[in-house]
Amino acid sequence: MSGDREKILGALGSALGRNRPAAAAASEMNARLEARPSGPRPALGPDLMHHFTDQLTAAAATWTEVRRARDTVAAIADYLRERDGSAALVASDEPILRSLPWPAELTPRFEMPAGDTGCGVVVADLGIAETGSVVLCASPAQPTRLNLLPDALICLLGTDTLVPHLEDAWERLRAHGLPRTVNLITGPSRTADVEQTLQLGAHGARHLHVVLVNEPLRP
Amino acid sequence: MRSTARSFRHNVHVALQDERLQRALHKARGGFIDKRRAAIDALPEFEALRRSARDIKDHTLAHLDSYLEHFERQVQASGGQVHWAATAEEARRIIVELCRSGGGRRVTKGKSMVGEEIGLNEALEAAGLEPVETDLGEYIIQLAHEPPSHIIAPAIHKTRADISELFRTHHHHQDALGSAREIVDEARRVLRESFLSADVGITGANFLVAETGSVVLVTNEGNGDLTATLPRTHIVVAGIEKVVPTLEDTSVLLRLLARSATGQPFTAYTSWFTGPRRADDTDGPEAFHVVLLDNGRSAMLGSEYREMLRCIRCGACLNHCPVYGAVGGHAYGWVYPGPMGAVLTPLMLGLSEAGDLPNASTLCGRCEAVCPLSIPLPRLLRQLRTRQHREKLDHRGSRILLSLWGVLARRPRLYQAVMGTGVRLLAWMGARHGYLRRLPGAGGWTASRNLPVPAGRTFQSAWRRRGRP
Repeated sequence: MSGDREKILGALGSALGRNRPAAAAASEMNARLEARPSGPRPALGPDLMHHFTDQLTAAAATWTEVRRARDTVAAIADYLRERDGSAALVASDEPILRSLPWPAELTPRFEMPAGDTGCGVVVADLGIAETGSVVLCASPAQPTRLNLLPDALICLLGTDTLVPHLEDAWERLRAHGLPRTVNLITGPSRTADVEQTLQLGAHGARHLHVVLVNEPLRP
Repeated sequence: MRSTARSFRHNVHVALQDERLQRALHKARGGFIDKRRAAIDALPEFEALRRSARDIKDHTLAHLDSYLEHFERQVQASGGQVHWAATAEEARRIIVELCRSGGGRRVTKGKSMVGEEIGLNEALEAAGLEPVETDLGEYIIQLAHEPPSHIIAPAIHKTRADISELFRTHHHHQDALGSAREIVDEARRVLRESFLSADVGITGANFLVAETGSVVLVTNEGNGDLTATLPRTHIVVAGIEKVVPTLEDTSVLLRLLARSATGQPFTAYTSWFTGPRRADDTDGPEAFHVVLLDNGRSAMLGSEYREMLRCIRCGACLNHCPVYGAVGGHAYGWVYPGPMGAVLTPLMLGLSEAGDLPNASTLCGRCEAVCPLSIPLPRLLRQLRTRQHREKLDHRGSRILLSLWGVLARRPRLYQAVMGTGVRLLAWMGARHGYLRRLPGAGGWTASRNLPVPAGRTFQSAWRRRGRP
């Protein structure tokens, strides 16, 4: 195995016309890794929230906005009623979700889903206005599979965590070090592999519903 | 997989006669082109992003060894392992070994063109493992035992009826599935079981991030994420050209990738995987391996084909190629079809194997015009033709014609005399209609259209008569 490492690095070095180790090349690399130059960023217009919700809609997600975290319970109940679903909720073990005033018939199970699950409830780390994506970082409270296995995914997003561009998300994530998984989810799962006709709900969530909350969801 | 690129001429003939294939290609054609156009028109920064992306790739390629070593260090720092494979054979050996030592038999796979390049499924099956493709298109062609015919839409050559029939046979039920919805739902149900029971998940990578040691995966179905998350072991197989310096660089490339591929601003699932699960995580794989594949890439780096390593596998050049549109992907005979395949296949398999591919192009230039990384594909194709001629690998007939042309082109007077006679002769032959229905030696042209006759004298003689300006 290690034989091929030296073989490949040697071949690359001679393809680049130098002997290894090339200190000059490494210092050029280090300079660029330090500088982290950004490329062009798309103009978004003055209203970030507006851009974000437009992108959500374009990606076939649905959304609603509430003032307080505790209002999300009513928003979720409305959403389930509209979908005509009595789907059982499975929520991540986030303190904010634990603390919501759930009525008995809605109270989620706070556990990791083992297989098919009706409706997942998660808290986004960030929203990205440019793309209409919710950013979900793996953590002990919020396992990645909860983002993927449920039929419908309800995602709470504190509007204080909405950032303009992808690059802004990197700045925030870098500060804590990357978790095992960072999912940028942009609308429900989809495929066009059958005759190029778009079908929602391939392997991930068939529906994505974002609840925008006008107060911080995490300390 | 075994290449049939050598029988390209025969493959093309078969493809053009295949009515089902022609129907499927016809259905697919407009969609990609129109959606890409609309997505790019909506992004005024597209050209600036293209230039930026080209610079990112050129910089990384010029320091490729350094970036790969940095990537390796960062993967190790996050608890993963990097393996280096100079050849397809070595990559297969490493992956089979990793699956075995992971103690598993059941393997789910995300769509990976490098996986196809190294013939991974056959190797896994030969080792007694059970690989299941989870991208719907890849799953369909796995059931059909066929190679992909498009790098982002592997089953683009299949009609709904074909797929329905495959599912009926392989899922053992009586009823044919009518709608695309029913097909997708059944695939979801069947593959959900595979996801949940898999021991090992194998994915490709859209990008490798040197800064963080992350692997970026882009899918619309979410299958790549389930493959990377549920099994105990996650193995990534990627070409060495996939590395980029920083997270910022992935932003630039991602803004181009989905728009160029499917015309979406962004894919539904875009994910960064860094190492195995952390100590207190409640899911994610316990082991994380990245297999870096050379397989001819380091040779490309040191050659006049370096620009090909910029490719991010979006498929735009396929979608816009008149030749791909007429014959589909299978005619190209291997894994990579269309203009990018006509460059890559001869470079990976040799010109003696795939010498027809660089010639199967009108050099119309649409591929270069739509390439998000501005790869000069027509120039690379011409370079391959030149090399083929120098190495005497082209067809005897065309060698003779080219030599004759060379004799004439180096002797202006002779050239003018021969051309003058030729055009007068043609003008005389077609004087009655103004065109020729048949011309000996040019049956390929006149089989489907008439040849307009020349004006009776050459451009040079007309120019002389007109006098210098």
